[in-house]
Amino acid sequence: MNKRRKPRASNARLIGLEFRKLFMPKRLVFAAFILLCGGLWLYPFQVLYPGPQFPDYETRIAAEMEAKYGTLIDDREWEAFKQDRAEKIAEADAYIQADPLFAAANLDSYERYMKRGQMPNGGTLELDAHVRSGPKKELFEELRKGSELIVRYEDDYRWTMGKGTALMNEAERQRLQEIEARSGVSVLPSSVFYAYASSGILYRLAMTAMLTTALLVMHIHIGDRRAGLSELQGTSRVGRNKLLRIKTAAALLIGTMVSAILLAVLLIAYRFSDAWDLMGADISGRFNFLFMYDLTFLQYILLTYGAVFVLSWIAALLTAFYSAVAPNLQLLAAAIVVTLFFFFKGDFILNRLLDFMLYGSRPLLEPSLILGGLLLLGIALTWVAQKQETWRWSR
Amino acid sequence: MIMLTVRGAGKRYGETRVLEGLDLEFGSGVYGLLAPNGAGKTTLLKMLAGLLPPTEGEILYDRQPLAALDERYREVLGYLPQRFGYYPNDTPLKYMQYLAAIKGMDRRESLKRSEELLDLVALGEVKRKKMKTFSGGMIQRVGIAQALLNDPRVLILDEPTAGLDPKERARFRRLLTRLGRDRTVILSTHVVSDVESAANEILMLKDGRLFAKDRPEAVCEVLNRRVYETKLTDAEIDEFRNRHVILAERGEPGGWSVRFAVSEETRPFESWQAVEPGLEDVFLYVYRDAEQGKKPAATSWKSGVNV
Repeated sequence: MNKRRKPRASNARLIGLEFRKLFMPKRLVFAAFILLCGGLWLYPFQVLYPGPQFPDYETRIAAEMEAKYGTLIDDREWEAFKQDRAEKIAEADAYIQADPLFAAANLDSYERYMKRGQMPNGGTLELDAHVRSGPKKELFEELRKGSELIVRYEDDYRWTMGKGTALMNEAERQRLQEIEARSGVSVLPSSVFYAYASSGILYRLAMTAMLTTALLVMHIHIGDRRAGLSELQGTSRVGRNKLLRIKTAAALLIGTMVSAILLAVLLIAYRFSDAWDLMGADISGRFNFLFMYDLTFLQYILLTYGAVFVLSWIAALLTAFYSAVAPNLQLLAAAIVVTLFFFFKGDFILNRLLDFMLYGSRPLLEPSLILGGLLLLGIALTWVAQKQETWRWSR
Repeated sequence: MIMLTVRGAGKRYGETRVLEGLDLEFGSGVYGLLAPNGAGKTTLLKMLAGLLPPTEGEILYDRQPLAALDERYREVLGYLPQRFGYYPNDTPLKYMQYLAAIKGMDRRESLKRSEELLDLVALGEVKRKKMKTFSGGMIQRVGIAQALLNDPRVLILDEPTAGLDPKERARFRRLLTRLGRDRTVILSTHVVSDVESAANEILMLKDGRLFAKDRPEAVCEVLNRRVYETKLTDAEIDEFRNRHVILAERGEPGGWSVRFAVSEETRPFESWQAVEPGLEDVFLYVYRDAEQGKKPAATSWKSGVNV
């Protein structure tokens, strides 16, 4: 046996070569087209930049609060906020008093206008439309959103665990007491939080990441097989078993890269929106929910985005498995579509995974178990793919 | 020195037996594997390359089973499959560098070696052109070059000359001769001229068994004084075809010029002119039934009986 050559191609280089093989321009264009058509990529921008037709007044108010008082607002600052608001109410009063339509409705102040609106059959529909099309639209919308924030602030923390205090367990009660004892209230409003969590941006980014990963990884084995490279690979020093592991690593790298790019896109999108100012705000607060952990909104994003990374790896492993065993591209595509449909439409998986709000005594347990189980399934399927490959060759 | 040993190896797919009872030894030199299509050449070569495990017997390199050697065997192996592929947009240089990487070569070495080998197969000037623009012969030359990337001790080539023009074939034969001086080169082909001049030994497979393994001259000896040429009229040719094995025939004004082989018992006519048998004559004679779909008459080699 002759002596081994030195130096050798490193595993990193081999992974890099397999990685690059998947980035064919046509595939990238196709993936981008699909994702743009599905609106998956654009969704975060649509939410964070709703445009002049649908401005996000709650975020704007919260950002202004943050600029004036910081991420925590105490009682004194809250009074100052209400004082600012009194000036705006005076401006609204002046507008109402000068407007003949309001006079005809026998309304001369903002407060009476609001009270009338809350009454059954209050008859303000025509006036509401009139305000929305008038020059003071933004003032009235800000005041309306401010009213909602005041109600939530004055409601204290009673509902912020998603349930009444009577139903809280001991750990949750302790957490509530701990937060109540703080000197200030986080300015983060639930609308900003919901835009990201629940079925919002995080869900779309998870779908985008999984779909993009699957589109890029799908050729990983079948591509070489169709190109007729398998025998050359099987007789190379690396051999088919190690190559399968290298390709699996390349697939995982693709999942990681896709998730990382989407995270960067997300953070850039936030950076230029009003919500960026609220990144340092605590997620627990009277304007939002109450959580078991002390996390800023940015920390919450980074923590929960970890699920997107894991889901991309799962998509990479499942797709690599299909690519190894599927006899043709049609069956491979069908397998990917069925699997992703199962993820996207099955509330049990994707919604349940991403909707964890970190309240409850063991908030991370269920999603961790589901993600861990799915990852294990992916690893087991990689092993099956290796066996399948060995079987195919011995035929 | 014996490098590769096949001991009682065979291969079956379910109930179908493709190869059986093969005992072979390969040292330095060029070995030409001759057999018609479907005779198990590719299966044997895949077994020798470690791609297919034998269902019986074993294959050893340097006295160790291939399965136990694993990557240490693949490290000294160069292989050109009968059908190999590439990504159409790849250039030969990129393709070679990828294969060099999976053969374990580092970036600098793989670039140097790839360029050398592409020059060797006269593709140096098109090394950066996309392979989808290449002719079949050019693709085949890339295949030959890749098999040599790791400077293999064992070189297995399945139908390496398919698609090569006569000039390229001649160049390839010279290359084979040079390579065979200090390593094992095993090539399969049904183009007899490819191995006639280059091979040190000829292997012939028949019915899944080894039919012959000998020097080309020795293989040809079996038809000594049994190959003739004569001229026939149109009226004679049909009956003649039924009685003898026609090796070649050429239509001429007023009749036919025929090269044929006869059985040992046949007494030659005076009008027949005895000629030196060539390897192609032996090939056509031995596999005459395989082509006609008849039950083969030949069953053994060295005895010279029933051939």
